[in-house]
Amino acid sequence: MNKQPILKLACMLLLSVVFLISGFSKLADPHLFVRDIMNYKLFPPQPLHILAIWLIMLELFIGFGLWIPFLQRGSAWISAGLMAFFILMVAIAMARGLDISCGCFGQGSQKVGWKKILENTGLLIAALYLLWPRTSEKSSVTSSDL
Amino acid sequence: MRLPELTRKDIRDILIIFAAVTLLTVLHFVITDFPVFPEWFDIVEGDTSYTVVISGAAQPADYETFQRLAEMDSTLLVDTRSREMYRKGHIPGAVNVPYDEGDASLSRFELRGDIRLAITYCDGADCMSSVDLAEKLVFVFPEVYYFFGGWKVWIDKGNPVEVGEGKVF
Repeated sequence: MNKQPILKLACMLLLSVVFLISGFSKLADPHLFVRDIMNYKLFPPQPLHILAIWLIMLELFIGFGLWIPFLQRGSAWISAGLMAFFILMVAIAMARGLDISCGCFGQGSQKVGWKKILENTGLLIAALYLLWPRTSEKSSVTSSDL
Repeated sequence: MRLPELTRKDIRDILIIFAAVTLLTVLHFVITDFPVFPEWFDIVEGDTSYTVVISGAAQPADYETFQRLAEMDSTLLVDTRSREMYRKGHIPGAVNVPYDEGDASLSRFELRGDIRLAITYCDGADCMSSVDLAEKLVFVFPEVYYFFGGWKVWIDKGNPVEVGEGKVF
């Protein structure tokens, strides 16, 4: 039995749920997300509000976009890029000895650490799986494939 | 094994998504009163510096943030528990403003222009008086935090305590 469609559906569901929960929890308290970004000590204060809201909107957009056929591949690529970016941010924070909240889910966020890197790596793999060329000629995920 | 291929169509779709997200971001700033640019100030004392972005609302402080900020001279620590609990033991340097006296104390707070940041605390996660007072203090100080873990976390971490009357505000 070909399990590819089921696995792709599972990856879409996982990524979509994570991004939507993350986006909505940050939208509920953007000031807290701004502070979480500041704690990474990588950005000056001036663009923080714009960066915070843009990231929140991006997460919400791709959370829905993964289910819209003509947005699926773009959303999957951005998901992979976001996960790689978050892994890098957490790794830098750990290397600098910062004991801070990851800022992933607003008030319910974990601290930065190896567990967070492993979780994000899992999500990165899920995003890449959506992009992986199928054994058939088609290389894009469409709803009919599922 | 073939790797995922980033096609020109994919790049176009990504740019379309970025454009849509940018539009949503602009809409958010237009519709809400969330400021486009933050106000902030730096607290620098010796080798320690901390950038505080003014949020206009009392914010929770975790233990590490509390530890860092509590040591600075321009930070006011406020214990919102009863006078009896405060005398039995409090965080060194904290002043006691029992929550039910909070409104009467606000005018005293307004006289302290040297305080740039205030942090309130009470017993622990079950106690809301630190949050309630913090939400009043945002009208007095540039930035206000509440240490949600409070006295319980301070004790659990094995930190020193001060007993008696402590500092008078």
